[in-house]
Amino acid sequence: MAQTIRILSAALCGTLALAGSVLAQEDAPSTQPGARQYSPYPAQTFPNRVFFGDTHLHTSYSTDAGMIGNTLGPEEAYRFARGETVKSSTGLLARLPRPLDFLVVADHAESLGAAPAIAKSDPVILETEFGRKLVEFVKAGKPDAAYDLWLKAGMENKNPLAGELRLIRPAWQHMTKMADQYNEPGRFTAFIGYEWSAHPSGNNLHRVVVLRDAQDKANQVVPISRDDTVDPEKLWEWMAAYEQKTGGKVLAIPHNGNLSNGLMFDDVTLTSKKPLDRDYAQRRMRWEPIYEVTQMKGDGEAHPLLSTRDEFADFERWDRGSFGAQPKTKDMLPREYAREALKRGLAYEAKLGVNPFKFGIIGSTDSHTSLAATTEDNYFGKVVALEPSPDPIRFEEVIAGRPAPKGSQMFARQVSASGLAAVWARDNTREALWDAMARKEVYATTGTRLRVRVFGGFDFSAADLQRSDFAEQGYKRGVPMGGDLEAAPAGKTPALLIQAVRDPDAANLDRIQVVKGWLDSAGKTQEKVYDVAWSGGRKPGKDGKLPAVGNTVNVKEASYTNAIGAPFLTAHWKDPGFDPKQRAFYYVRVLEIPTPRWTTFDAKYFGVALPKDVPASIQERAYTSPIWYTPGT
Amino acid sequence: VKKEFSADEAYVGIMEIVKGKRTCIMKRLNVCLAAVMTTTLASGVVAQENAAVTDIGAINAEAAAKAFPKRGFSPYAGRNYPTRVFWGDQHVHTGWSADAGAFGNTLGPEEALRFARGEQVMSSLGEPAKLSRPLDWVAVTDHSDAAGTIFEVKAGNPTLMTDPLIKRWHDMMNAGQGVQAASEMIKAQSNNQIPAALKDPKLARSVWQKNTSIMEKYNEPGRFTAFIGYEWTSNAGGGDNLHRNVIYRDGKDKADQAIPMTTFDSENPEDLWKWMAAWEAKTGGSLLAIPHNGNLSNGKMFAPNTFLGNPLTREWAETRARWEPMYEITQIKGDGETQPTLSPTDEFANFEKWDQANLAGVPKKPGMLEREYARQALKEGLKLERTLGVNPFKFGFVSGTDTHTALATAEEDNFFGKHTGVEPMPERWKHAVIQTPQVNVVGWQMSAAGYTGVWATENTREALWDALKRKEAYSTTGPRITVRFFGGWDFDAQDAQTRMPAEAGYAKGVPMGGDLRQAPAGKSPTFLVAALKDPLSGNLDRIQIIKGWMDAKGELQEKVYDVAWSGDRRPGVDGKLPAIGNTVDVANAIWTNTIGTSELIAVWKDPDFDPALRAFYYGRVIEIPTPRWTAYDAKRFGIQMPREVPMTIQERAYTSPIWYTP
Repeated sequence: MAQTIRILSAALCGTLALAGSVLAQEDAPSTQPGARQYSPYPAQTFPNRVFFGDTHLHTSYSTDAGMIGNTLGPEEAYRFARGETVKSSTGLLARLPRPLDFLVVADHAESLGAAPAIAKSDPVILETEFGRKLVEFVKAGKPDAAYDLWLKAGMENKNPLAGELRLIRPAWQHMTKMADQYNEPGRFTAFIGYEWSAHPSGNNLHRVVVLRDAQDKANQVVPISRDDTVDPEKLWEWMAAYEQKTGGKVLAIPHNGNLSNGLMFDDVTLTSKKPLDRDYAQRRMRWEPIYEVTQMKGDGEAHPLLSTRDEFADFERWDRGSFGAQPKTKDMLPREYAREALKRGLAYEAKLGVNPFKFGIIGSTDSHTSLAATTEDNYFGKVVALEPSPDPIRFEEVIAGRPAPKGSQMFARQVSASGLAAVWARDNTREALWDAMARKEVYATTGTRLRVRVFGGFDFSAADLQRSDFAEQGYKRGVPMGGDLEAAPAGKTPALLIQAVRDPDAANLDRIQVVKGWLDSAGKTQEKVYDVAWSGGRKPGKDGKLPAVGNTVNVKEASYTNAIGAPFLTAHWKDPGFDPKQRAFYYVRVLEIPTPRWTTFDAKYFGVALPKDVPASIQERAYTSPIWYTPGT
Repeated sequence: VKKEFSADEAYVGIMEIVKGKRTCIMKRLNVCLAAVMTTTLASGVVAQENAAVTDIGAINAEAAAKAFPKRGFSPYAGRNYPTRVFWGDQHVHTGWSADAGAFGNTLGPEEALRFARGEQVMSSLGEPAKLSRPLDWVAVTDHSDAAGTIFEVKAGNPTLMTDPLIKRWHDMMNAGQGVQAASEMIKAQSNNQIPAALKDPKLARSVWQKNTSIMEKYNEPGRFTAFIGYEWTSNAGGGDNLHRNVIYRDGKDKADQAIPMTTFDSENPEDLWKWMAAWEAKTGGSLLAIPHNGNLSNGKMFAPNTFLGNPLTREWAETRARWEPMYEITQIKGDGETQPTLSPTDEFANFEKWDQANLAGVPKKPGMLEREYARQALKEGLKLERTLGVNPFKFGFVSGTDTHTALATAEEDNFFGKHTGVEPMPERWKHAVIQTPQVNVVGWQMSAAGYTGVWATENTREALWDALKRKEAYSTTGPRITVRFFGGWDFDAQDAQTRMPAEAGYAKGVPMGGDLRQAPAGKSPTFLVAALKDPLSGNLDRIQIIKGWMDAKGELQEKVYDVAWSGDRRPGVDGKLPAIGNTVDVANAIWTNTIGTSELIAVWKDPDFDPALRAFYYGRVIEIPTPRWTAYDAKRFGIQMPREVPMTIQERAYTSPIWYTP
């Protein structure tokens, strides 16, 4: 028998054509045909499962949560994410439809430890007048006064708690301990992480920092905060120092470019205001391989003013300003949205040799309730005060743009019940999931668990789409989402193989689209959205647009049916406009049929009026990480 | 008395306090917090404690309300019906089973559990083995007769080493003559010449306690369930398969209070039930038994009389139904749903049949088949229910592999065979499995099957066992097809378009394994059935509902209805749906999903319903043809097999039935 196996192995090696033009990524998983035995599975190393999670959840350990009513700490957050019923801070029973597979408790590094210290009147916090006042306000039932005091001190750089290691360290070590306690390799991954929350002048540059490691390494440091620096380049230095010191691994995930007033994907560095250079681009991509494209504070894929021909670009949009006083102006938008940044990245790459915006895409919640709930029918609000209730504040509270002129505010009703991070991996472990994030084999959804898989390559045919060994072929002859195609062989055009399956507990699919961005021969960035698969017998009209899928939503009942759409869509798509000399990227957008928005569920459940300036139904969606094409030299 | 305190009540409490105040964000918050601390916490919200409500009999608003207590804001908090399928194998033998060890299986329970959890394990023949995906649970069911003794002998158990014959076997085993030694041991056992030391209950106890310790070590509530269990392997004195797996709901503390029953104690299933009753009485624990391979029982599995040949009684029927709620309908040694001569109009009845003989190769005689197959037994059960007042054969369906390799493989592309002698190797397809002058069962006839899907609220021994007990579980021949099956009086086409069929299913009906009683005037039973393909396996061809009933004359009838199918096929004049086609490329052992569909859902109303007649209904979901394990073997080993060897298979799922009783 051993003889046979050797012969078989040799045969397999001999026939395996390695596509020379497909660049294997570093650390990319692959099949190892030479190692194949009878069972195909020992040798299979490519990802075969999608794990869903939230990389961005705040608990009572965040000062802007714990000081204002959130009584649930990291432990409750993990229990909720793992599928248990948890009582929310306002006393409502809360539970997910299905457990999540992973969670990053990403409490703010700023004044970390203050909220739990206030809650238990810790002697350290009582040492200062400032701390005593906070405790006094909170205990007197005036958390608003405490919060205002804390915010003001922060803005004036006079927060006496900044850098108070006697508060920060125990809080951090509690967080890391809880993460290790709830991390169960194979079942549930609890990442150690935190949020570095810099927003100079209220313009958002926040990053969630995610460690691959356990508390033995994590406890050798404490998080860096905006009290230390507001410059992302300093954050990267901290990350490099962490890796140097501990031998661990760490990545950062920026979010809410839409609230950055042009700073998120700026053309100049933050502090020195120098144009981006090759070194900056390398460092940025070294530390920030993925971007959080959708969350409660709006969707950041595309903007209708930037993507004028994209009929789905106007989705859960937050584009009136930032946290600060400065209103939004149109010129800021290109430096705020993911699609535009990906396009500009191509131009930068042509100029610098390195693409500073070559990021993969995930979604997450940024919930401050400790509850990573993302479905529209189970929306627990952005903060504890906005947890489910018929109180008008659930719709009317101002969330962003408080100090800005009238018209620049965003309101609670506009908060999006979003999103999730989906990770292609084989095992549910810190290592496997983190590595998938680092290689960008991830995608975003706006809250549902639809599954989407994409492979790009030069030799795919339509027949590959339905092959029983689809994934194996995909990895063998192409690259998955997040991957690179280089130097097309003469006469060859990149093709994508795409499969999308609806969330089994949710709505059918409307369509699959491919979004292509490229740098044309004149050096200008371009984009185009292709419909590549859709449900039913619809035919594109004369304008090339596919007719809308329809809408089964019963607004009054907050219900819908799966009478339209398809549970499963596939596409083999070959780029009709391919030019082998032009840099390009391709990512996939999958749209569900319309379903009731959370505000519609609220109106039904509480018997309140539907807010007028948000849609009653939405089309939930998924965005995959791109596959990039780079011409040969 | 526990008070139900719903979330919205809690909220109303809060709102009472804030009423009249147009509060700012912080004010509301303060009030909320104060209210929460003073009222809600003090009241104590009581979580719903009931398991899924099934068997609620006649459907009415009150019953539905019980299943769905008025919900709070989160539709999922308090949802108490099963929402997940947990996949497992309730029938795995390791090298601790004497026959497995004799065939050279060197893997014990620990390896079996590690493999089931998805880890890579080296097979007894040195082949790396791994599942495509982890299972959620497993029951290691080694034969209780002489369990573990081969391993004890090999390991040099000091008590055993005092016996020279045992010492000789030990030395042989450790000198590379393990198979010969094991054969000698088995032979000695069947000739009743086994050394007394090996029959010492102390040895059995120490082996059992080792076994339960291993189960305890790998049982991880919420992640992976390792059931304590064993197989009681009665051959009724001559190869007539009456085997039962005994599955414990409990842990080591209770399981250790008695060593498993063996066939040295008795070969009569009634004695097994007595043993189970005595064990429960002693420990306060819970057990169930799962029979299997009626197809190898030569008419004894569902015989019309007791083991001792007496007529069946009401008490017997009650006892059997009490202890044996589930039947293993498909496994490596053949599929036991039905048989072509029993179901001549069922075009899918001829599937993975092992119907020549019993385990000892004694050929079948006329009249035996009728007492061996699940569908026929379910029908006979209706008749017996009328005469005895109780249906002894009111069982749901599970699968198992019955593997003796310790490797719970049921996927065609990863089949490690019945025992170590037929682990992957070029010759295994022609290996004689049962060979006598009259009978020849050959290696290729092994069926790479099957797994059990359990609908439960969580992955724990208790939740899974309770689901098995209430029959809310189903069988597949290997693929992990998700199947929902509900019966009620008021399902309509709309229910098939809701995003969560289960919501309508549990609100308006009973799930698989349940009962419908006393049809409301003018109503026919309706069924909501939904299937989702296994992402790694073939698309779906169709869903069928199989009805069995006893007609007004007391005759037993059956009918297979196609209720949902892929594509725009139309039934022909004979009422048959055209075949789905076949995309399998046998030479390369691949197929394409260009035919079939990923998901099917339908509401079906029995068009032939008579409220006065007893009936049962179960769902059968059929995949498109995919390569059979023999095709993978042919491809991987570069061998030709004769034309009689099937190279493709239509994998399937069988749901547990729903019964209608007038």
